[in-house]
Amino acid sequence: MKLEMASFPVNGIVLGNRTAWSDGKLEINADELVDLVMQDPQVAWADIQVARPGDSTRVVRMRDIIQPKVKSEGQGTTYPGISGRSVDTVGQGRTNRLTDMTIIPCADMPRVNADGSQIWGAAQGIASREINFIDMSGPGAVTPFAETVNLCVVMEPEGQPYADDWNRVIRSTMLKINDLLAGATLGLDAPQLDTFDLDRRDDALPNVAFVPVLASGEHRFGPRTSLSTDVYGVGRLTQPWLLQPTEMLDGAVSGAYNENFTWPIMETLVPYMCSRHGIDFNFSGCIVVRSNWESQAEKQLMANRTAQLAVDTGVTGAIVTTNVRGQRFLETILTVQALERAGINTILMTEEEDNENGTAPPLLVSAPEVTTVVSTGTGGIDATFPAVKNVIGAREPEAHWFEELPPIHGRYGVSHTHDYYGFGKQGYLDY
Amino acid sequence: MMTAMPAIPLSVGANRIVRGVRVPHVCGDPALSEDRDRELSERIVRTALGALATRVTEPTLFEPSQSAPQAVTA
Amino acid sequence: MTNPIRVVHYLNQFFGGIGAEEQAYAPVQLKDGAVGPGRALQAALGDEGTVVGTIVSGDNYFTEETESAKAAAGELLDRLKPDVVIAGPAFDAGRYGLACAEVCRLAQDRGVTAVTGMFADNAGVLTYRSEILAVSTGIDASEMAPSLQKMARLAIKVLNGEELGPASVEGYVPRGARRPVAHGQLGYERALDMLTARIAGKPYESEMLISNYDIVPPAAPISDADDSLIALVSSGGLVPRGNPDRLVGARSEHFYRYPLDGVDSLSVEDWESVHGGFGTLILNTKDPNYAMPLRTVRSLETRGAIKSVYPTFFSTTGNGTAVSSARRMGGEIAAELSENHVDGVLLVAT
Repeated sequence: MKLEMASFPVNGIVLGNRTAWSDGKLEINADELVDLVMQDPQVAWADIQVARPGDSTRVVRMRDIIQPKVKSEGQGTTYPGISGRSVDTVGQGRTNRLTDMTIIPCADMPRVNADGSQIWGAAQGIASREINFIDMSGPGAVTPFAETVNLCVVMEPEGQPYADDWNRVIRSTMLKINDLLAGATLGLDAPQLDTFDLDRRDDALPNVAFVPVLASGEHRFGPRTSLSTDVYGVGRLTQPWLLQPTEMLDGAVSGAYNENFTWPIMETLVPYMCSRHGIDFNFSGCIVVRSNWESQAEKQLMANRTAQLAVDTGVTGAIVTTNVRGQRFLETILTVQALERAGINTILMTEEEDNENGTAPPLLVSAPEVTTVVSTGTGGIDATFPAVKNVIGAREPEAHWFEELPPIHGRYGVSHTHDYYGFGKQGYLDY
Repeated sequence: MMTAMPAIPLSVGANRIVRGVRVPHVCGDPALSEDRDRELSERIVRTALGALATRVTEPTLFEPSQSAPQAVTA
Repeated sequence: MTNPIRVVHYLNQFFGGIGAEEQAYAPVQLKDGAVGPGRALQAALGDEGTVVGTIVSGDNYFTEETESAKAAAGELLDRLKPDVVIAGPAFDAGRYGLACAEVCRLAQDRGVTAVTGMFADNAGVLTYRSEILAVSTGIDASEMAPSLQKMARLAIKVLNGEELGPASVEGYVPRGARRPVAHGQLGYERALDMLTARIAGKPYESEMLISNYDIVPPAAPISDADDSLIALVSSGGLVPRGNPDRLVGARSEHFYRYPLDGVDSLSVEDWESVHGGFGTLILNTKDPNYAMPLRTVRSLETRGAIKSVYPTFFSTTGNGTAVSSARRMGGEIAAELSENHVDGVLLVAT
């Protein structure tokens, strides 16, 4: 496949009367955006706020993070398959995107219990509510989102809807804003145009694949839930998908699962590998592996099928990544093991568990075939997060969000940075 | 150690491991009739007791099965 | 450093020139100055240091008569008063590696800087990983001179009080600690560089050199199951309905004891699971026995397959549990079971 990517950088967002992009400035009409959001009767209240790099601002209750992009030529729509969007295969033609900015829907979510009942508000008592936020300045400003201009869409639901229903509202709102903002670039000359022609292969170069292991929400919320990361809108547990890298650039894999957001899956490793296609290797494909299977046999089967797909694709190298930590990490390890046993040079890039002063190993589970690892650290932040002037993400953010927050330990399953795709320079090494 | 995911304790180094059914119901299967489910539960527990009575030298997986429980070395 | 530092070298019977395997029981002895590969060590030290003596011992002697060997070697160290002890390198010889590790520990106990060298999987490393500083070598003694050079360099660094960088950079075997590092490149850049190097057969360095847990030797089997006392332990988050002890659904640091006297089954009316890491619907609406088969165990007890069930049930949540917490809880439970002559445990996880 061949995809032209037209990039329109955004170094500032200004409030005005219309939606327009010009020379690095994105003008938006905040009232118009709020009206657009409020068209959905399930939204009781909405507001548009901007978090800028360097601000004394903390963004909370993020439900997803995406880069605005739309197709300008070629079939399909960006972020296909979700919220009723077309499932036409993407990754060809031309896509327009607004770079250096993101759209972040912010909203409260209930906790869903095993029997389907829900708890809204502070009574949930989930620790993750307290550690997921983005600081735009200070020692916690280490994620890429501290360097992008973030357009936050803060929303409140009508009543106390089911989590899945509310999530669908949030997603479709996010995409409406996406289509409007990115759509403002249609017809304009792009300051930067990159062509990713993955059909051209150099036989002298090795073929490599990207193999992201992505948790599915099916085991918790059922096969049709929207509370999952999706491939063309399908979030359920399926066998591995073989996608073209340009499909991923167009958002074929998207959707938040807990605090694992869309942006890092698509805007980090994949474009970088595309940029090195034809130079260091041929980027042959992406094999998306689903995790959260409930039996050993299923986990092993998916790993086996992944390895077979990789062999059939003719790759000699692969990068495997993972996301939600915990017992589903076993799927990731089995995947690395199966690839290595099939003769494919495999790099595992992952966060690691805090080693508890040398008493605990860095990976929950491992295998002798896991020999080549890039570690992005434990996901913890050693420093105190300073008090901030602004908190974006709720109509009336709780007082504690404005205050100093304690350091976050990267202990089992707890991560603040969620650097699964290597977007940062932090890591860990053996001493 | 009785678990639906033997690979984890095998990797961690638990020495006697018995394979269970699925994570939400390790020691049985609600999809079976009550009688068959009880049989299955007994087979799994007997396998575990058998494992306790078996000499092992390294992490070893014991499989409950239709016949007598089998030991499979990691 | 005005005066050359005093260095004592430790070698086994073979490299120390006493003999081969037939001399493996040679007792600890002292030779003057540098011996055998010690000459390469002296060359590596140059003017900075002098090998004042070489302690030599048989591999078997040191590993079998460890207490006597340590006493003898310790006495020699006290007499020689070195600034630095260099042991080996042992490459992949396990007994030699263990002996080198012991010698290093003896030296360190006396406040003397000690460096050894061996293959990363050597028994000396596996046993004393966090206690010794070992240059990472291959398995081939043809690397002797460069290994000794690295050992000397590292020893001088440590003696001078310089902080050591990561294991992969300084060339030593990881000592079990992992620390945060700020790389020069982004993670995905490092990953692709590592991949292309590996495919091309060029050198690369994994950012994780060890990833395993320690090895626990298996307990002896139960001799007579019919006569056994079996205890039940669960990490499935099982608690009496209402969770009176407030067992948490994740990151638990505590386990709780619940009496099993007169309890034949974990009924769905009286029990629930608070585990936050998997779908507990079946346990909480149908049958908690799926996570702890008490009903089946009691049935087997009645029929004589086991003698009896230990009257206390131990329960915790195995979800995001810190390894150190798990180790402590396991130790506490094991201590009670051992005191009460329990023969075996059924530990049901997920």
